[in-house]
Amino acid sequence: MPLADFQSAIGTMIAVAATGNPLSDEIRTSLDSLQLTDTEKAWVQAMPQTRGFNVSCAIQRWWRETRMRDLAKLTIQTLGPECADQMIAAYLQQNICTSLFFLPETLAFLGFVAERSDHPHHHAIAQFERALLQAQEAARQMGNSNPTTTLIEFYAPPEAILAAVLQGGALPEPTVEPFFVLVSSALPHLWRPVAAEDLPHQTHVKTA
Amino acid sequence: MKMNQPTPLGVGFTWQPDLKTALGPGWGLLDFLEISPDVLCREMITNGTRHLAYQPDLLQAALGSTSELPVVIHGLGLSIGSTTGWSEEYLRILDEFAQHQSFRWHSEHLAFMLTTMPDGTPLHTGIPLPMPFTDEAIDLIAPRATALGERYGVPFLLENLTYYLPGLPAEKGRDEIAFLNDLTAQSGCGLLLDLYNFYCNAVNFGFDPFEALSRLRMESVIEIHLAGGAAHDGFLTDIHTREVPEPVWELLEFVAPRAVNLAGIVYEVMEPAVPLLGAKRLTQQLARVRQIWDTHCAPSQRRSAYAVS
Repeated sequence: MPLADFQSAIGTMIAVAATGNPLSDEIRTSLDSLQLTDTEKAWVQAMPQTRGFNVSCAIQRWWRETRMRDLAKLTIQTLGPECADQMIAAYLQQNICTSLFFLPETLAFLGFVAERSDHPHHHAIAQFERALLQAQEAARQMGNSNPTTTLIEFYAPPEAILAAVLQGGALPEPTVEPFFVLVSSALPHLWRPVAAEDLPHQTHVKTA
Repeated sequence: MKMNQPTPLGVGFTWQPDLKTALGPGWGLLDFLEISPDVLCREMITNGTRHLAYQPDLLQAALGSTSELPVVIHGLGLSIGSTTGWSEEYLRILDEFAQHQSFRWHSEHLAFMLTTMPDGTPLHTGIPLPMPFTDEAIDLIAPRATALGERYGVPFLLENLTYYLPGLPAEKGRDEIAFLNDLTAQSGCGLLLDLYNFYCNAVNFGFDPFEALSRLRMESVIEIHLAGGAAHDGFLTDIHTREVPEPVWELLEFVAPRAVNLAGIVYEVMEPAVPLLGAKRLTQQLARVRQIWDTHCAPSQRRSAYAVS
């Protein structure tokens, strides 16, 4: 079996199976295009039925979930145990692994939560935590020389939402009017509330 | 190919922030630290391009530790076995580290993580996956291992992997041991023998680890890893969260006197597990490593052993 084909076959099968999805017909067809003998094809085809293959997939999923839970603590806590489990499972099902590192996995997860959440506070907190991670990284790498700036809309006073999350209390009722938070690598604590009347004066603001 | 043998160091531990405090009296049992440059870095992916950058606070903390103890490097993300090419980003950060701090040797996992889907889409497997025991795998990795030894001017070691896929393709009747023997002989690189990984494979695939290790080219073993992990669905897995299991200590007692070029034994523990295990248990584990090192591997013991034989 050519080594490149071995790696492509095993890597693809683990990447797909770790999402919990079956191999699509498209992928099966493409796997058939690899230069494998009949014996090798049989080995590849039998692999997903083995416990060792499934353990490999489970370990990959476990690491990915561990990274997200470690770095997206605020969002995970905001979602609550049941919703967080569902969101993580949905994310893992729809996104194959792209990295060994905590940050890219977590940024992708938070982007997924922000996109998928229909609760305004969940949406805002995921965006907020994502922007904080990006600002923190920018501050580490570039200091204040080239600040990244993001504006987040909350639909309740952000301090009230954060207090509820951190103290395990009930989230405040969503408001109609937005409350704005600026997240920037140039700020002392990376974020601060911004009054609506101050918004036109902000420069380089990117709406999340 | 022949490798320059490193000066023996002794007992080591996985570097992590605030390790000295976490280990308590165990810190005094250490002779060196093993640093993974990857864990000092963040990765950003922009338009599909990976970029690694040191987190300055972590890099400074790691470099600060090196004023107290010598350092060896243990990489995670090189993907030395990938046919699509290894990670140039990993080498770039290792180059950068080498500009700040010398190291006695460096090592990587004998594995691949970077590949492509059959349609050519780049893929990261998320876990290190094993190489088949074939000539092509050896021919791919051996020159890379040789080049890495030359690039940094210190020995390069490959680490045996815990793997879970049954019936890996093989040629010439090779098993894992024969593969390691052929690879280290052809490349001239050393072996980082992870005894916990090897024990996992023996348990998971039902072979006798002592018989297998009796066939290993012991002179290639430069470093040993010890760890303890957990089982999942009947498989022992490579996760460094626990004390070293007793059968792994027995394997160490078997290997230590035979591995004449052994230069260091590292007890690997994941950062989140350090406070869970606690300073007392970690110190006990390190004391046991120290006792075995002093008995079998310290240069004075090696000299007397040679004198007797």
